[in-house]
Amino acid sequence: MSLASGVTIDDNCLTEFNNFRLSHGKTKYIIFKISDDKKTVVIDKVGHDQDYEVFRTDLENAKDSTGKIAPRYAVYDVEYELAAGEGKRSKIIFISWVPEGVPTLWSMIYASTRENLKNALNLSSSIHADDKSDIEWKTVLKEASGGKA
Amino acid sequence: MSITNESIWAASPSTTRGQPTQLSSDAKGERLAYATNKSIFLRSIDNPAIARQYTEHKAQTTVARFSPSGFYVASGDAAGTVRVWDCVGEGITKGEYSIVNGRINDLAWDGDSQRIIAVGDGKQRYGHCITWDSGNTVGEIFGHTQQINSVSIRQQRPLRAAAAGDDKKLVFYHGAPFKFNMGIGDKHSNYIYGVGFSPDGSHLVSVGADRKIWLYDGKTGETKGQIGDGEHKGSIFGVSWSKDSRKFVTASADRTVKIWDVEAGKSTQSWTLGEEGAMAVRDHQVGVVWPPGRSDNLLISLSLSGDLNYLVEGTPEPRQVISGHQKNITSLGKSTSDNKETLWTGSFDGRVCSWDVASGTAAEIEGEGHPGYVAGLTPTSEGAGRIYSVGWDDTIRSIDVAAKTYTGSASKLTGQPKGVAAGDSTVLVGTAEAVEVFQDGKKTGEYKPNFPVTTVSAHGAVAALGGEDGSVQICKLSGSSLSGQTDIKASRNQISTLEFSPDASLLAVGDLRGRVLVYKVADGSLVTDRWTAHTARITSLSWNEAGTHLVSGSLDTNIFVWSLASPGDWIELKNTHKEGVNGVVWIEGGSKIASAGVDAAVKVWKVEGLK
Amino acid sequence: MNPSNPPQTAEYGGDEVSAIVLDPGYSTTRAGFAGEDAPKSLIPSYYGKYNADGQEKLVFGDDVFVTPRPGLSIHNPIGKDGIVEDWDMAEKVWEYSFTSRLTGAKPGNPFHNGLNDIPSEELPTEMEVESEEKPLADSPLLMTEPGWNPAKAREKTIEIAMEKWGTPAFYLARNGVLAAFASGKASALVIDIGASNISITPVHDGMILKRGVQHSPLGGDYISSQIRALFKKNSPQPITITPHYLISSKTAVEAGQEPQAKYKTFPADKAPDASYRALLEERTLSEFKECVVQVWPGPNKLSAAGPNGVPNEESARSSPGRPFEFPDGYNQMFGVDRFRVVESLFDAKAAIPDPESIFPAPTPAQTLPELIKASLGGVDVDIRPHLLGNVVVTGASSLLYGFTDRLSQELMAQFPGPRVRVSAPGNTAERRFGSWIGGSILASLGTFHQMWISKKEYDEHGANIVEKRCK
Repeated sequence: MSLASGVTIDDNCLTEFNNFRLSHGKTKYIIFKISDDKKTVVIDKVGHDQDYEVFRTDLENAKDSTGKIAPRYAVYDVEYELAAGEGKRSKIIFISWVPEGVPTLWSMIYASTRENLKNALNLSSSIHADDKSDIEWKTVLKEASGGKA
Repeated sequence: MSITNESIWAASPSTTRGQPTQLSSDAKGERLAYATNKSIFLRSIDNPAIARQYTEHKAQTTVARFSPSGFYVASGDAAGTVRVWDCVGEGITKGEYSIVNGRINDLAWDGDSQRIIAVGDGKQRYGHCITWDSGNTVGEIFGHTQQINSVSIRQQRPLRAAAAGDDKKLVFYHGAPFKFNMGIGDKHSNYIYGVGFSPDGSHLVSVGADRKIWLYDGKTGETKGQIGDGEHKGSIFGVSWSKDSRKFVTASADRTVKIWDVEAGKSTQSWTLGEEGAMAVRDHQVGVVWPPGRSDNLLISLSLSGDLNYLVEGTPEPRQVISGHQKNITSLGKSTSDNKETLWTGSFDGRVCSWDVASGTAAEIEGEGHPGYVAGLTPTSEGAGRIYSVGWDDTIRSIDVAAKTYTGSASKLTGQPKGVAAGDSTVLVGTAEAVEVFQDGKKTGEYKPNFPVTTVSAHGAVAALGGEDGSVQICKLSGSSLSGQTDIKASRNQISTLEFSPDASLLAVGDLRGRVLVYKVADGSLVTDRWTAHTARITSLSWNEAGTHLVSGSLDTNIFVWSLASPGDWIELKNTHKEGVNGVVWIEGGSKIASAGVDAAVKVWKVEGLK
Repeated sequence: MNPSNPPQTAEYGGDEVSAIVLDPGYSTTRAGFAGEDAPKSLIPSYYGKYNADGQEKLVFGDDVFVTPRPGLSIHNPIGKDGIVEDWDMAEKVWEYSFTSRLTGAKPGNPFHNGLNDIPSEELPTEMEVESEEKPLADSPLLMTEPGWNPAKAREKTIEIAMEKWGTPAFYLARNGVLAAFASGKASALVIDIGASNISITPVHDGMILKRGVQHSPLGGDYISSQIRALFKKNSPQPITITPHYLISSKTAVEAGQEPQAKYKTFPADKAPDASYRALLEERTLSEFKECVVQVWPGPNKLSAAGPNGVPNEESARSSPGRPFEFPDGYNQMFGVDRFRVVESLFDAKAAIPDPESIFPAPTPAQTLPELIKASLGGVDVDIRPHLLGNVVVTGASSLLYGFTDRLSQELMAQFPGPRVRVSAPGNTAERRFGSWIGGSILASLGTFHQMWISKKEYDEHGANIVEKRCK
C-alpha cells in the first residue's frame, strides 16, 4: 500500500461512473470533488454537453466553498477519428486538475487521493493538469489517442 | 491549419581571430558545409537563401566535411565529439564518436567515404582514425606534441594521410590502417594551419603562421620545396586545391586570397578583401574552399567577419559577398516601403542586418553602430523611414532605411534599455528606472511608473509598460508625455514582452514563465489566459494584420500560433531555433512568419488554413 | 490510552489528539504537530559531548551553539549518506526534538514521586511495569525518510517509535512522495537539495520508483567545503572564518583590509574541540550562501561560452559583485567567485580543488545533470516525459539564488524533446520544510487513520510490517 490520504470514494461516484460508461456517449463527463470535510470524494457535476469547451470551462471555473480557485478530478469521454482513417474510437480519460495557486493543503489532499479514485474507476489513461494548456482539447486528445488522432 | 518551414536563411560561419576556419564543399560543388555556434549549416552555393541545419551537437561546433560520396557529413565540436549524419535524406545521425578530450579542429574522409581521421586538441591524444559507420579504429595518430590544426587524406591508393599543428611538425602516415611513417619538423617555423593532398594524389601542400607554403610528394612525403616565400604578409589560414590539381588557393590574415600554379611555383592571381585601417581585422581571410564539380571556376573565401566572398578566377572583384549574423540574433523588426518588406535583425555582437524578404539576402548596416548587444529595433516613418535601435552600450541610434546605413545620430540613455517602441511621432525606450521619450532622435520627455520597467510597446497614441513585478500599465501618449490609464496585475512573474494588435484594441502580454495573456486595451479586461503551453520566457509576440492570430516565440525554442476565435486550437513548432527564439513577426500579408534566434539564423514558416 | 488497543479514528484522526510529525534531516531535525503550517521545533541534528566531573555529558538542540565548554565536541548520529549510523544517539536527538518543544518533559509517575500517599489497594499492578510513561504514549507519530533508506534502518525506526517512545500508531513516509504531493502531483521527479545529499526521486502514481532513486553527497555541506576552498585561495589575502565566540570586539575596516578585532583565546585545556568551531563556522557559511552565493543561471556551464560565444565567466565577471562582512569585521566584494563555489553541482570539472577537504573531488556521475540522467535511465521510457513535465524542487539548499533557472536550462539542454517544467514553491518555508508540511497535512486528516500502523499490528507482525505498509 503506497502513501495515501485515506479519503474514501462515495458509492455514488462509482454508480454514476458506471452509468456514464453505459450511456454510449450521452454523458460526456463527470467532475468529482473532495468534500469540504476532507473525507469523501463526491460527484460535483455530471455533464452531457457534447462541446468540450463546456467541460473545460466547468473545470477551469471550479471554486471551493469560499469562492477560491479549487482542484477537481474529472473523467471525460474522448471521441476521436484515427488519423490513418481507421474509423472512430472513444476512450475515457482521467484528469486531475490542481491549478497553480491552490493552497498546499488541498494540493496535498488531491494528490494523495488521486490513485485511489483512478484505481476505483479502473482507468489507465490519465492527465495531471496544473496549467490551462493541460486541459485544452489538444492536450487531452493527444493523451487519450496516444497521438493517433 | 498547418505551418511548415519554407526556408532557413543561414547564419554565417563562426570564426575566431588568429585561428583557421574550415569550409567544405560537396563533390558536385552545389553546397557548402560549415559550423556556426552549435549548429552545422549546409548552404546552397547558388542560392544562399536555401540551407539545412543540423542541430544535434551539444557543444560549440567547429568543423563539417562532406563525404566524397556526398551522402554524409562528418562534423566535430569543441567537446571532442564527431557526429556522422545523413545529408541527403532526413538528416539522421549515423554515428557519434568521442575522439579527443578537447576541440576537434579538422577532419578528413578517405576516397572510399569509409574512413575518417579527426584531429584537434586533447590530453592523451590529438586525433583518431575511425570507420564512419561503426567507429572502429583504423589506425593511430601519433607523433604530435601539441594540438593538430589540420588533416588531409590522399584520395587514392596507396592511402596516405598528413596531419600538422601547433608543434610545427607535419606527420606523414601510411594506411590503412594509418600508421606513423615520418615526421617533418624542419620546414615550418611556426604553427601549421593547413595541409591538403591534391585531388590526383600527386602533391601535398602545407601552410601556416610562418606565411610559408611547402610542397611534398603525395605518395612518398618527400619534400618538393617551398614556393611564394614572402608573398603573404600574414599567417596563412587555409589552403584548397583546384579540381585539376594544377593550382591551389590560399587565404591569409593579410586580407588576401591567392591562387598558385604548382608547376610554375608562382601566384597567378590575388584578391585583397576590404580596406586598410581600423576595420581591417574583420577582413582577415580565415578559410577558403575551391568547390570541385563546378564549371564557373568559383572559389569561396571566408572573412573573419563571417562574410563569404565568392571569387571567380580571372575576375578581380568578388562576384558576391554573403553576409549575415555569426552570433545570437537578439532582436527582430520589420519595415515596409513601396510594398517591399524588409526584416531588421540585431545581434549580440552589435551587428545589424537588413533582409530582403523576397530574396532572403542580407546586407550589413554600415556606419557607427552598437559595439555589443542590440536590445531592440523599431521602425518609424521619420525622415524617409528610419529604424531606431537600442543597445547595451546604453545608446539609441538610428538607421536610414533606404541607405541601409546609420544616420550617425546617437543619444545616451540613462540606463540599460529594456525595449524600444514607436508611437505616432515618438520613440519610447524603457529602462529600469523610467521610460524615455525621443522625438527625431532627441530626448523630449520621461515617465516614471511605480514599478521597474522590463518592456515597452506602443501603437499610435497608446503605450504599454511591463514590469518586473508582473504589472502592466496602459498609458496615453500625447506629444512627448505619457500618462497612466489602466493598471493590470497580469502575472506573478516578470513581464517579458508586450504587443498591441493592429487596431490597438488588444494587448498581448508575455511573461518570464512562458504565459501569454490578452487584455482589452479600453478597460484592461482579460480576453484570454489560456495560452500557457510555453515553458520559458516569452521573447517576442506578433499579431497578424487582421488581429485574429498571435504568434509567440520563446526561449523554450518553440513557436506557437494562437487563434482568438478558437483559443484551444493552437499550432506549434518545436525546436525551431536551438537554444531559443528571440524574434517572431508575420510577413507577406500574414501568410508567413519569420523568426530569429540564438542559432543566429532567420527562418521563414509558411502558414496555411488559419482558423 | 491503552497502547494495546487498536487505534480509533476519533482518538488521533480528529481534534482530540494531534499526531506528531518528525522529519529528521542531516543538518536539522523538524518536529511539530500535524495540522500546523510549520514545524514548532527546529533543532540541529548535531549534538555535543563533553566531560564534567568525570562524567560524560550531552548537549542537544540550540544549546550546542551556546557555550564553548572545555573539550566540547560535536557529533552527528546520521552518516554522510543520510542514513542513521548511531541509533542510540539518533533516538536521543529525535526525542529531544519533540520533548523540548512539543510534548514537554513528562511528569514523573505520581505514585512514585513520594508526594502522594496512595492506598495500596488503588495501586494498579500494571503501573509497576510501566514505571515511566513513554514520551509519545498519547501521540501517533509520522516520520519521514529518504528514498534510499534501507529496510534495516526502517525497521529500527519503527522499533524505537513503538518500544522506546510508546507511540500508539506510526507511519514512515518517503520524503520524495511528500514533496510531490505537496505540489499537487502524484507523479513527479523530485529533486531534493539537502545538507548532506542531493537526491533525485522519481515518483509515479504516488509510488517511488526505487530503481530511479539517485543521490550524491554534493549538498549544502559540500558547498560549504567549496566556499572554504575558495577562502583559502582568496586574494588579496586568504580568509579565515573566526566565529563570534572567539571575538570580543571588532571595528569597521575598509573592504579587503586586515580585520581589526580583539579575539578571545582559550587555553588548551579550556578550549572546545575543533568540531565545535567547525560547526560555528558553518553558521557564517550559511549566511554567506544566502547573501553572496549565486548559481550561474545558464545557458551552458560557467566554463563554457554562452550562446553568443562570449565566455560565461566573462559575463559573470561583468555582473556587479556582492559584499560580505565576516564576524571579525573583514569584508570584501565577491565577483565571479560567488558562482564558482556551486558550479561543480552541475560540472564536476569546475570544483575548486582543496586537498585538505573532507570531500573528495566530485565525479561527473555525482553532478545533478548526471544524476538526473541516471535516474530517468532507471525508469520506464513511457513515463519519462511525465516526470520531466513535473519536476519538483525542494530542500533548503535549492534556495540558492538562480538554482531553478539553471536546473531548467540543464534539463532543456539535455532533454530537448519533451516538455520540461520545473516547479519550485516560491515560499521559503515550503522549500525548507516541504516534507514536514506534507506529512503534517496527511497526518492531520481524519481519513488517514487507515494508513497508521497500530501498536497491536506491530506487536503481531513485528518490525517488518513497515516494509509492507509504508511502501
